[in-house]
Amino acid sequence: MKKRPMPEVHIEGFKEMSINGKTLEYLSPKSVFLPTNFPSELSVLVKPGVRVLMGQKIMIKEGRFGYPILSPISGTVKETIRKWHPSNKMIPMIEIENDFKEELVDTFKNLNPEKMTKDDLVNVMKDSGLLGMGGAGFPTYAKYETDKPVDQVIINLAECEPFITCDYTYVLNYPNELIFGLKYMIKASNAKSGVIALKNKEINNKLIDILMPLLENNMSLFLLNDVYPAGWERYVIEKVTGKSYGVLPIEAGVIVNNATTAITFGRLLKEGLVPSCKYMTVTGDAMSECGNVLMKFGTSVHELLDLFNNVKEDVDKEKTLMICGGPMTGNAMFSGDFVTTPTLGSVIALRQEQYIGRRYPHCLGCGTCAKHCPVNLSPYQIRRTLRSGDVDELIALGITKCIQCGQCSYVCPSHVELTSDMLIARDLVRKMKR
Amino acid sequence: MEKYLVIKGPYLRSADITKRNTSTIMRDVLIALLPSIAFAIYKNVVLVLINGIYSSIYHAIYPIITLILAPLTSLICEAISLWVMKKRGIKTFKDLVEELKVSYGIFPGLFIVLISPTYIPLWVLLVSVAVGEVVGKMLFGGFGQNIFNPALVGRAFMAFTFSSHLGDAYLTSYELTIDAYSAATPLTSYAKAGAASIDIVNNYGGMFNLLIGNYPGALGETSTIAILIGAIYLIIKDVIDWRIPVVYLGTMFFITMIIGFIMGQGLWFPLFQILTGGVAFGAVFMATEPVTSPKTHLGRIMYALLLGELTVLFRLVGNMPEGVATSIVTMNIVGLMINKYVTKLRVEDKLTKKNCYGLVIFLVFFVLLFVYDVVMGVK
Repeated sequence: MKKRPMPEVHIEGFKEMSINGKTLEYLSPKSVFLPTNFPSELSVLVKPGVRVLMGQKIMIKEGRFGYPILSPISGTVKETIRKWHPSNKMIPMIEIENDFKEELVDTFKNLNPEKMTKDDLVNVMKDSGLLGMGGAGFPTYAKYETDKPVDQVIINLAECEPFITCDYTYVLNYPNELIFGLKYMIKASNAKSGVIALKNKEINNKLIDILMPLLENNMSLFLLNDVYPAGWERYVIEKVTGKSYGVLPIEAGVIVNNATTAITFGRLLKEGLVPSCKYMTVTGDAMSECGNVLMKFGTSVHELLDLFNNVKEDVDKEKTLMICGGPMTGNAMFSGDFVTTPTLGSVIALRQEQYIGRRYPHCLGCGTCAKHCPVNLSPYQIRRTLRSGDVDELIALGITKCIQCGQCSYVCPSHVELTSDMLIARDLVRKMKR
Repeated sequence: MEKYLVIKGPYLRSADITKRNTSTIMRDVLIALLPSIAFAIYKNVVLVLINGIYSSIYHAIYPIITLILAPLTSLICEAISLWVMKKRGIKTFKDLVEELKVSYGIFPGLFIVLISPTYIPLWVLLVSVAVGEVVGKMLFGGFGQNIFNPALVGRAFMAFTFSSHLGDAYLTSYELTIDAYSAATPLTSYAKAGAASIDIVNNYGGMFNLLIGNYPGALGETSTIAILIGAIYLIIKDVIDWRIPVVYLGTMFFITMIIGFIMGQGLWFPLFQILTGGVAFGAVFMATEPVTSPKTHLGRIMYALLLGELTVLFRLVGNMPEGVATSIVTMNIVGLMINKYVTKLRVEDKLTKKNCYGLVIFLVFFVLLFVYDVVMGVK
């Protein structure tokens, strides 16, 4: 049987809103908050009252793929308090009060990347706690610590979710650092070449013009179709190399990194700046102003929203969504007072007055969701099976393959909440398997 | 602390952005039915009035009355069922009205009247509509939850319960005066005839007339050309998958062609089989109904192949005039199994020894039915 090509759906981008808006830097927040039990329990290395430098280890994630968490600012450690986290939970966080001195630790000063070996570079990634900033937050060094031959390093600049332009803005402002980061990522993996994959759409022409002259001999640009989910690792690899793989991209001889990760790595090697900041997009029709802001990890979103004059005065907040992350995979937050993390790319405020209280039809079984599922599932069937709670049947329907891209709910003509049912089904299967 | 709205994601919906949602899909179906409805009114009302052969004005405009009353009955039954069952959080009258807007209650009634004999007694029609609507749709849980096509449930109920009322009800008062229309419809003529002969086609004004649809038959089913216009509209609007009608009609054409050749007849025989009765209407509007047909390409092709064979079976072997309705209702159940199998096949994305059982069963059934059709269909 011929392999089914991945479905390609164009989604309206709404990216002009934030691109045409303000581009700000906000690198001196009053204090930053670092979660102590996300993604799992972390061991804390500092006591309250101690002064820490920017880049000093605050916490360590133990175990396989462990990594340190560095302080993004210099200042004083305060008591642990509970704050809203982008996962929509209130979790304990260490507060670090800023002393506005921006004092860096010595570890990463005067790095000489020219003379560094592959192992040195991987160790820098490890010591600096560099995380994938596309969303999954997988430690970057884990991708490079491999014995398998690497053919290509792909920089994922697809940014396929609507509204978000944080990678775009970072690359626009730091193109040299991107190329620098990619250069040493190639070195760290012994790859033959590097590819920057970005979408073929009008707004990206500016990036292409900037990046083209900077590319080195073993680097190239690759244009993806303007579809969703073009930024999905599997999609990018299949398009760029034509290969598919089992579990990890390394099986296809490829390492994929997000563009912001590459820039952060580039700045770490070039300026000694520890991974501590990234651009975040603030946008949506409920915001007074839209744009991008360069912010420290752990900044309270409240402060960032104030830079854009907060949500509009006339907006009824109970009829407005405060989305943390992209509109397809993000969470609606209870409160606008949560803290940012390295994987957070955007905060989107959307008005919902017109949709509240509307009555939608039942699923009409048109199969549109199945047609558009990137992993060949049939969401409508899984939803029906979920009601009977038949776990074996759910597994047979492939629920464990679901990537929660949100495509099924997006294309449904009846507004059926398929994606959340898929998540419930996936969690049910995982619980029963245990 | 300010509180924002919390709902489940994703927060963008193509239904909101592109304005293509279930309601516009159902509206497209209604638009696609317009040519058939227009032709039905032309043939059964306008032509009768022009020729001036009618007993009373009520009798002359009777088709229009049924076209209005049947959807209305179906809508009322829907409202009563919803109110009695109190599903989907219906508490006030306003909820009910809102729910009726998204449960599309007129469709079963509209479809039933279009596939019923034109002059069916009003009470028979309305009882059938009520049965189709309540038993076929609401008892299963309403729109989108039904296993069988509600319209065909009502039509099958009509065929098996009130069969004595159906025979004469096909002909308009004008058509009753034409001697050539010995039996009611071309299909009943063929069923009564001792042997296949092209005379049947000629009695009904030739092949071209069968295509246009000016011959006795069910209200909306006779004009293949009007149905074809609707089909093209639906395919362009991506409401139906072309695979089902094309494969269905193709299968029927192929099998009846073989049967025709064995009987020493030409190509008129398969064309006659496709152009008459509810085949075209069933292929375009009934077999493709999203709720009850399989959702994947492979599943749809398997479904349509078996459907074609079953229709030939019921029509030529079983000598049942309502072969299309019965075969589609039968295939609704088989389609469930096909869909389940194909869904799992798609997840694995390759054919292995372990998961090819369904295709093998399908092929065995397909070949057996094919042989049976050809052997028994010859007369």
